[in-house]
Amino acid sequence: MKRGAGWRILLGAAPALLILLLFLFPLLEVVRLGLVASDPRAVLGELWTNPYHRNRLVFTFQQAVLSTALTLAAGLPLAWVFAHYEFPGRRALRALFTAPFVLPALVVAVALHSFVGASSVLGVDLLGAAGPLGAILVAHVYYNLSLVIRIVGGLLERIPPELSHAARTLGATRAAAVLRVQLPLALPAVIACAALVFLFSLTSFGVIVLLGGEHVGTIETLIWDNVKSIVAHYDRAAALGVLQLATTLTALLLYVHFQRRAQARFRPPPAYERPRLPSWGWSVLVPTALFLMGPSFALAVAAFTYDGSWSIEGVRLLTTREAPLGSYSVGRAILNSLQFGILATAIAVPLALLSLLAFRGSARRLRLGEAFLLAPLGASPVLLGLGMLVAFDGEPLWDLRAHPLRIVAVHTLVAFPFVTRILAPTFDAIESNLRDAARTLGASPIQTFLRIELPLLGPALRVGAIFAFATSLGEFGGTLLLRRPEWLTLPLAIFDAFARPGASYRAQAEVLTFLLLVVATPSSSRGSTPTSTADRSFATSTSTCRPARSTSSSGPADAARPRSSRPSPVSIPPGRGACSSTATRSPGSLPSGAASSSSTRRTPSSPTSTSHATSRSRPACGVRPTRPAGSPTSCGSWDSKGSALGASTTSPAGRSSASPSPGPSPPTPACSFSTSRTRPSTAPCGSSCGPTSAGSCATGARPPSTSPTTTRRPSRWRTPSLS
Amino acid sequence: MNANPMIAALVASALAAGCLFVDAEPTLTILDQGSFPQFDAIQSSFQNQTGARLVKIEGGDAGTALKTALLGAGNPPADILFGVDNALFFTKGVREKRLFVPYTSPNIGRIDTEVIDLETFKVDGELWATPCEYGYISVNYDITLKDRTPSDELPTTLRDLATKPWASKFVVPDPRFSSPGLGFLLASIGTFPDGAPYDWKDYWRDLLNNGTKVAKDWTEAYVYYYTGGGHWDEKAPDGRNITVSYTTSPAAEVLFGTPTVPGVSLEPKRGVFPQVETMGILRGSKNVDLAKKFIDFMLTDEFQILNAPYNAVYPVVKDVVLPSEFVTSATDPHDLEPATFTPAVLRTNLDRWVTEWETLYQSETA
Repeated sequence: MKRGAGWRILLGAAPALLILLLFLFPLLEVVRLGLVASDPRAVLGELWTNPYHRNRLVFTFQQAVLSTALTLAAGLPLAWVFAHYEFPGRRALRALFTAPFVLPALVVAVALHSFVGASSVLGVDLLGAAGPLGAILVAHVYYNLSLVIRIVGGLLERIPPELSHAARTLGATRAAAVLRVQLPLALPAVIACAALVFLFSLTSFGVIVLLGGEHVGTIETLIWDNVKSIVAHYDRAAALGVLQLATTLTALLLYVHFQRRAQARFRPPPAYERPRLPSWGWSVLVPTALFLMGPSFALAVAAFTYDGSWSIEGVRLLTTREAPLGSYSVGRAILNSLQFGILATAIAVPLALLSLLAFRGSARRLRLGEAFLLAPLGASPVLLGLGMLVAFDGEPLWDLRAHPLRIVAVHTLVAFPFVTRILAPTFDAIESNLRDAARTLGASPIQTFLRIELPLLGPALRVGAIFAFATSLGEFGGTLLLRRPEWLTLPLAIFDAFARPGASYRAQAEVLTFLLLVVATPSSSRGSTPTSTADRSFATSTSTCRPARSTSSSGPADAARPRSSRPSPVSIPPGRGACSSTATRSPGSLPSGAASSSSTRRTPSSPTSTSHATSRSRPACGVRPTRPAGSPTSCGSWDSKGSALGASTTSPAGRSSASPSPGPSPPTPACSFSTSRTRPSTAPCGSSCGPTSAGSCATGARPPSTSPTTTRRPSRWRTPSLS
Repeated sequence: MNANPMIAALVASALAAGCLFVDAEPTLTILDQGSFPQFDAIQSSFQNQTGARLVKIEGGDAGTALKTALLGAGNPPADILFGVDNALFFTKGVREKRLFVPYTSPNIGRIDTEVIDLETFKVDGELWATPCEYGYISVNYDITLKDRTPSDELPTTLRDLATKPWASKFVVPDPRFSSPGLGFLLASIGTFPDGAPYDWKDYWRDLLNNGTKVAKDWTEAYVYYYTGGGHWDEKAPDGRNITVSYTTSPAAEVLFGTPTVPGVSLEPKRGVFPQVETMGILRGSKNVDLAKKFIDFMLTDEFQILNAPYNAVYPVVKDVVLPSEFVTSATDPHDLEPATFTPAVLRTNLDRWVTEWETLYQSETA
């Protein structure tokens, strides 16, 4: 790999420079302004003596702690139910429950308002009754719930049931088995999840602004408060920014640490049949489902009602010039949003790809890389906006004020950690052998990348791109700080309308929000769900369903061989569903892409003992390597290669699904699982389909007939080319 | 190829959008504070004269618009800023960032200098911003207030507003974002000056404790909360009978709104702030010549009669014939003795006053 070093530096240079310029430099400016240029003690002391600031500082942590506690309280039973029980509609519900995560904060706030808020279509103002804190908590639970299901549920699924059984045998009560065996084992995941929810609650902005009203606020809103008026206090804002950064980075470190431990714990257990859901389970699931679905429906209703009856008054108001917001030009806002989204996507995805390339390699480098790739998550959008504001403030050299780049950069940075997390599993699944083979066969590194890796990364790239696009469309805090009249975006227009009292503004806000909901989640119906990918990227368990498409029928070696006779190294048989974790088709999923049909034919060589068989009938699962790429294998080399190539290893989820799928050719969706980037462990393919993709997903992913109790043979696929 | 058509469509639409935004016609952009009721007429008149298109950008209230302009000083989002008044002009940053391009219009002589002091807007002897309209910021109340108070009394002084009978009846626009709000703050400072035994901070503390609502901007205060405005929605909660607007607002109500509601100026001595609103050419504008033509146009009778009365304020040029309601329904300016501050006082104190007000407001509403 030595020869790759120069390469890597070159590859890393571009993202490093961009990150340096657009991320570190602005943040350093904030730190300089907050700590060096002014007297931080005086500024912070002043903040603390001013009751307005003090209340908001206290409130920041109050709401974050309560949000975290409530989210866990509401989410743990759900994680439990999804991890341990089988019930009709499990997949669909899981997809539904993870959908809210990607919703823009403004959409959540406005939708909750139309659901149970002041403008409730049901006529009940629960949010008003709950007060600002209550309203904020509801919103935070609403869109962080999926994290618990993903992160904690992911680990719970892997805890071997034998442990509980043993405890029961030894006389523990059912409760004791849960409390003293399962929960302690799941603790790292719980803490990791709590840290992440805490982080997201700390950096929450749109929800606080819209639901909190004027009498509460957090550090985030204080930063905005301090820069928005004609008497701006940039020193205060910067000091607050530093405080915010310190807290978020701590939460982020906690998350990274415990997430690693959670991922290190347990390999997937042998598949077992999940018991049927006891009746109490439904009393958890149904209310949650109603709670999660309600707001979107309420919003749709609210957007097309006015004054209590069906009407398109809201739409009309937006299109007339005399309308309150009419002159803001909604069309302009939409076009701007699309432009920013496209630009941010066009930067974020290659940036993530280059970063991953640069950091590919040893475990140590991966750790470093992980920190590097996650770091932007520690800076809230508002803080990034503040950084851009003070760093590129109109000095001749840095005058980017009239340029969309500042806003696009914030959008890019917000999306970047998610995109890398989406790409990473697929990326790691591409074994070095494949590249080596290609190189041996005479391909240049660039050829190898373009013709082997890129096609294999395709689906993951698409998911990443869609996610980046949706993130950009919904981004509000950073955009607000950097707003110029000509850069009006949909979220800003929603905010403007929502911030004004009166029914006509409210109607316009609802229409705009509905529009954003529709535009920002195209995603869930296209390609795959950013929804699930988003939080999936933070959880151990992953998978998305894509409509049937393109799985290569060629073996990896074929793929690796740049054969001129082939138009593309990866050919695409029609009609095959691909259900993949990061919508990945890793090379490994290639053979398994041919999956179910072949699974019976090609008896796999017996695997190393730890891995267990896949269900023969489940969507074939390409599994990510169970060791960091490049590290020495401990398994038999063929097998390990096979598995590293993604030939199916076990997934607990394998137990539950089977896959006669429509389509002419080998009918199995390919499903690859992602695991920890650095730790050996496989994640279950609890698939998640966006609400809207359920249809397409269902075709491949969850066919009805097959019994879940199919025999499982311990197996790993050997790829044809390797055998 | 599932997602690709979508992406292709998006790229195409973005490109199309990019093309749409490229204008061949010369265009003059005005960052506006919502003060162009007759924009269409003004636009077509300007286009006839110069062949250039006129575009306005809603910049929020004057304070917000100024903030936008300050953030873009030297690289502005528009060519002209409309709304900086004789108080906002002294905001920190206007001079430091050289916000405006100096320009003295050949029509400058048309301005009624008996009412308007051009010196206010001069920096180093050069005129930075050209007066466009003026008015007197004062407290207005809803005439029906009389029926709603048991004692049949009405407030007569600013001090009254901070007392029990008028609790929760007053709404004032935020001085940080709204120029009438800032004007009222200055009027209160004029009435209860710094260093007095009962100074403006005491007054504001009492006001806020008396349930005074601070609205985001003038529009929100006057249009949404004020029950005396023609736009008030009966169903809206938290209606307020007293607000801050202009001595001429009642005339506007009679002219354009519900023909019922006179208002009043409380404390015509000192409790009123004389506001002169200006237009200034933003430094960095790529259409300075066109902007100058617009300033010239702004000082013509045609423009003045199309704008000021519709904004319920007075035109700055001499001898414009005003609608009779300006005489019958508004307090005669000659009866007013507004609070006045010299430019030097404003330059040294304005930022401090607003900051202190902010701290006070934050403490009282924390």
